[in-house]
Parts: sequence; C-alpha cells; structure tokens
Amino acid sequence: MENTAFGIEYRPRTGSEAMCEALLDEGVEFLFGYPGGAIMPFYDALVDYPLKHVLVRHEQAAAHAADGYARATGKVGVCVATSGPGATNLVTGLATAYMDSVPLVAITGQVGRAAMGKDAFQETNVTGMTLPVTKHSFLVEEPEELYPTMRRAFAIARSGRPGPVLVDVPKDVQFAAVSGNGYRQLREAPPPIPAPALEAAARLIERARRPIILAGHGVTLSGAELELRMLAERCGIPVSTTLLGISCFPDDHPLNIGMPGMHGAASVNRAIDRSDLLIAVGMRFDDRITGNPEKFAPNAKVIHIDVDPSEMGKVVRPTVGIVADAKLALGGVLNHLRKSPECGAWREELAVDQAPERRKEAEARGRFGPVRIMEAIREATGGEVRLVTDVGQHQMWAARHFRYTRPNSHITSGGLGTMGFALPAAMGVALACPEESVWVVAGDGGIQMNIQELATIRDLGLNIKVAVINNGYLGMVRQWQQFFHNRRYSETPITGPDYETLAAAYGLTGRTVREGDDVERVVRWAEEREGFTILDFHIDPEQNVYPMIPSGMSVAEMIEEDDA
Amino acid sequence: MPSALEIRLCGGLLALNRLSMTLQNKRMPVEGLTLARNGAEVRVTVVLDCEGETARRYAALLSGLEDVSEAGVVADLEEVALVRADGRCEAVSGSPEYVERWLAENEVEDAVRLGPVARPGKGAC
Ligand SMILES: Cc1ncc(C[n+]2csc(CCOP(=O)(O)OP(=O)(O)O)c2C)c(N)n1
Ligand SMILES: [Mg+2]
Repeated sequence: MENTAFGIEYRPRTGSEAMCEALLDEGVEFLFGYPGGAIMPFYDALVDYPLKHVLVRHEQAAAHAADGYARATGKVGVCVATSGPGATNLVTGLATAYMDSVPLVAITGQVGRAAMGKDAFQETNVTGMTLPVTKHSFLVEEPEELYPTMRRAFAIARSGRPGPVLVDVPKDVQFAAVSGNGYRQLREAPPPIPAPALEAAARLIERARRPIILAGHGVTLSGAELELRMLAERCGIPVSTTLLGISCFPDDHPLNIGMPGMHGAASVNRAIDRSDLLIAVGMRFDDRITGNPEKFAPNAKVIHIDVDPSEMGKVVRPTVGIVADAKLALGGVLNHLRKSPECGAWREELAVDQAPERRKEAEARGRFGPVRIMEAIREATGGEVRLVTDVGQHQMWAARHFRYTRPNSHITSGGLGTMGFALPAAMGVALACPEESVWVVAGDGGIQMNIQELATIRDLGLNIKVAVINNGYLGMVRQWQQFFHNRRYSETPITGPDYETLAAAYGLTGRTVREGDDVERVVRWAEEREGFTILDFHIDPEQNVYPMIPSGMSVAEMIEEDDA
Repeated sequence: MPSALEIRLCGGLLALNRLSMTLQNKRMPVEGLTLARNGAEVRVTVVLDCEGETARRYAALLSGLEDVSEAGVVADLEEVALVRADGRCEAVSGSPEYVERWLAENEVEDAVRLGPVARPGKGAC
C-alpha cells in the first residue's frame, strides 16, 4: 500500500515487529539471547528497534543474565532463544528464576505451525517441557495475539508472586502480518488485607517475649526494607535474614542476628528453637531453614506474611496468616501496634550466645581463607558492591561472613542452587547497574559451568570482578562425603584451568593468589583497575562450612566446628 | 476424609496439561479426577485424599494458575452412571453413595461412571 501523503511505501506490521513493540512498550532495555533458525524473523526485526541485545555464548547464560538483571532492578528480565536445543538450554535458567520468584519473560522461536507435531527439525514441545518451572506459558498460534500475549506475559511475570513466563512463537507467526493490538489487562487488583489479621498479628507481637523476624526474598521483591526496619526498631525485635533475604536488613544493624538454617549461625538456630514468636516475612520455610519441620521452632507461634496464598500452612502452620505484599502487610501491622513487646532480656540472651561466634569470625579474618577474602572485598568496595555468588561452600561463606549494608546487594541462586549461575547473572547485574561495583564469588567447580561467558564480558567491556574460591574440590559435596560417607571423596576432586592464562586468552586479566600473598592488596588492585578481573584464590582444600544441620534433622543434631 | 475441589479452566489443552502437571508436581493426593464442561469452559472435579484445610490450600494454589478462572472446595457431589442392562442403556444419577449403592444392588452388563462432579450452582465456586 502506498502512503500518498508522505510518498513512502507502507507495509503492514509483522508479528516480529509487534513483539519488539510490546518489548518497547514494557520499557525493556536489554534482551539476552542467542539466535537460530526458528527465531530469525524476530532477530531480523530487532535491528530496527532501540532494544539492546546481548549475545551470550550459551542460552543458559541468557536466562541467568536476565535473572540477574531482574533481581538487581526489580524489572522483568528478558531472554530469547531459538527452538529445540536453544529452548532446552534455557530450562535450567527458568527453573532457577521460578524457584526464587524472579520475573522473567523468555521468548522462544518454534517451528512453523504447519510443521508442528511432526517431529520437525529442532522441534521440541517447550511449553510442555517447562510447565513445572514457569509461572505461565503461551504458545502463540494467532499473529493478532502476539502483541497482547507479550504484554500479558510481562504482567503475569511481575504480578503477585513474580516468576518466569515463556512465550513460544512459531516462525510463520513471527513473519505473519498483524494489525491492531488489543492489549488486555490482568484480571484483578490485590484484595485489601483483612484488618482482623493485622490486629491479631499486632497483639501477638505485643505479647511476645522472645520474638524473631525471619526476613526473606519477599522483603526485597516488594521493597519493604524500610517497613521491616521500622517494625524491628520500634519493637526491638531481632531480625534473621534467610539466604535470599540477606541484605534486606543491614548486617551491621545491632538487631541483625544473621542467617538461619542448615549452614546458618548456631546461635540463630538455637534462638529459633527457643523463640516464642516467629514473624516470617516473604519467606517460605524452605527445608534448608526448617530441617525437620516437626521439630522446628517448637515453642513459637507464627505470623506468616506472604503474597502467595498457597504458602500458608504448606510447611509450618501459621497462628496468623497474612496473604499480602510484604510492604503493605508490614505497614498494616505497624499501624495496628499499640505498644512494643518486652524483649530486652531476650536480646541480651542472644548477644551472649553470639559473642563466641563473633570472636571466632574476627579470628578467621586474620587468617588466609574465605572469611578474610570476604572482608577484603568489603574493605576494598566500602560495602558499595553487588555481590553475586554461585553455589557451594563459598556461597555459604559469602552469605555468612560478608557484611551487607546495602539493600539488594546480595544475589544468589537459593531455591534451585544452580552452579554456574553467578558469572552470567553478574552480567545482567553489571548492565543494570553500570556505575556500581559488581563482584562474583564462585567456586572452582561452578565457575567452569558458564566460563564461556568471558567472551561476552569482554565484548561488552563489563567491569565485573571475580573471586574464585579455589579448593580443588566440589567442596560442598566433599564436605558431605566427609561427614556422611566416610571421607570417600568420590568424583569431587576437580581441576580447572590456570585462570590467569585463561583470562589472557579472552583478552582479560587474572591473578592467582596463594597463602602468604597480600589478599587486601590484590583485592584493592582488582577493585581499582578498570575492567574485568579474575582472582583465583587457592585456599585450604578441606576447609568446611560450620555449623551444619544434617538434612532433615533439627538443631539438636547440629554439627559445630569443635565437635566435628 | 476425602475432599473435593472444583476447578474451572479458561484455556485449552495446555491449560489442562498445566493443571494435571501441577496436581502431580505438588503431590496432591488425587483419588479421582473428572472432566466436564459448560460451553467452552472446562470444569474439573478432583477428589483428594486429605482434610478440608489442606484441600483449601491446594485450591488457593490452583486458583493462582493463570488459566484457572475459579477453584474451590465443594461439598456437594453428583455422580452419573450410564448403565447397560437387559440390552438397554440408561442413566442413574444421584450422590456418589447413592450411585455406588444402586450399582451394587442392580445387575448391569456394563457401566460408565461420569463423576463425581461438583453439583452445579453450589459449592465454593
Ligand atoms: C548444576 C549443578 N550441579 C550440581 C550441583 C550439586 N552441587 C552443589 S554444591 C557443589 C559443589 C560446588 O563446587 P565448587 O563450585 O567448587 O564450590 P565449593 O563448594 O567448592 O565452594 C555441587 C556439585 C549443583 N548445585 N548444581
Ligand atoms: Mg570448590
């Protein structure tokens, strides 16, 4: 058709263009992806839109990078892959985001509609395959549905309890002509919180003598850091942050007692055991926290605040359940509080129990090892850093011994525990926060799982610093073998490259750091230099994470360093 | 004590897949599952081997799925059995207990049981 007014050729929009427009209308800045046959029309359209695409080196990394971006910004992360192997490579990343309630939209190409169901080249039923690890998924078979479906995918990803949404688009649908968009809104606004629940929660808090707040990822997701702090400070209630809750309440706050659970501080686990009231905010009583739920917090009443109604009573039966966004719920509880509980004696009791742990930690800071490395990163960055961690012993050391003082400064794969998460996730974080310092703490096992992303990092010139905590083992598994399998170290010793040489091969910089080297100096050097730097810290191979509550057990079976 | 849920789906086959995957994935103690419809809407009645409180939690979980328009615990169940006896086909209907009794007391060549399903117009939905 000819547009006579301007003398330019006018052609109808294609499905791919409608997809790009939906992305722009959602305020998307970055896409992380990898092209292939079935997604080529989309990649062709992309060129004409002001959307920045990051070409990763493996689709798993695209999902983790989008995840890191989403966690750092609170916005929806976007990843893109082709059909078949591209789509299957996304699955680990989707599962990681699903377990940690991270909003993602994953776009996958699919074979053309006529070829579907015929075992076509690179055809996989990705909607079927990802059913258990997505909040929702769409197979878009009608071109006119593309734009509204994309918009809806974003709305679903960020509404209520966030999560990943997959949009699978057959190739011919991407090519097809589309006209209007007809965006439909999501169905309902969140219901108001019933006043009696807030009232009941406030009364429980007022009467408590040994209360503890357990703060989880929901606090960060809803931006409830201030309300959490107001509740804690107004009532003098100690706060324990879960693995994903870390950094939602400052570690240097006198009321912060540390992380609970399998590798949490012994004093925190004992405190939960003696507590008479747990105020659980945006956390889901993961088995890594409760151990045996029958024996968990046996003396405590429970206030459970969570936006997902199906979390109520899933593991721990709440005395009062409040199904709401953490920010609204905490604000509501604060409004209903008439007085503060008397828990001064409780705080003193906890302080006495914590004192030896604090002494031990201070001692460990003086020795070459993970605690000292964490402290050096903290010193060099002044705490102004986003720390992205992988999975294993180093993850627990970073969780326990780094002092986080900025909201949302700790990013890790909690629920799925995905090795290989940290490096690509840090790419998303670094792109989201270009002015901020971004450090990765990874093990010598996990860093090798997405090491190919060094090429992406080099291309983008990302200023990420990596500390490899190199113990020559799949350390966490080795530790379990030591405790529960008679030290039979089956397939846990692991080798890796020389990271200095490897970095150089990618045009990047690395250093090896051994006992006797000046840890503080090398960390400061890395922090101060412009550009990616990898530090390979060779630590004691058999250092363990203490304490440890064996899986499914209770605080009574906790293994502490002195009795190991 | 078994409990029953009625779930109304607004999507197609993928919605049904997602529902059955969720039942299996969350290890819901499914004793029976019956599909029915009203117009384009698919109505699924699931009998669960658990008490009411757990069933309500499962209903909350299922109503969080995007293509579930409603989900709730239902008290009133209805069953229909198409039975073949003396060469004729007829329908027997009533409460599941009634249909059970009827089938035990009568001689039938073959029977197809449709249900239990949530009785229309009642229950939590
Ligand atoms: C993808 C994946 N595979 C396997 C595991 C099981 N796993 C958990 S921790 C761990 C060891 C990690 O070793 P490393 O990266 O060297 O860290 P370390 O524990 O030594 O600090 C393994 C294999 C996992 N979490 N993720
Ligand atoms: Mg290791």
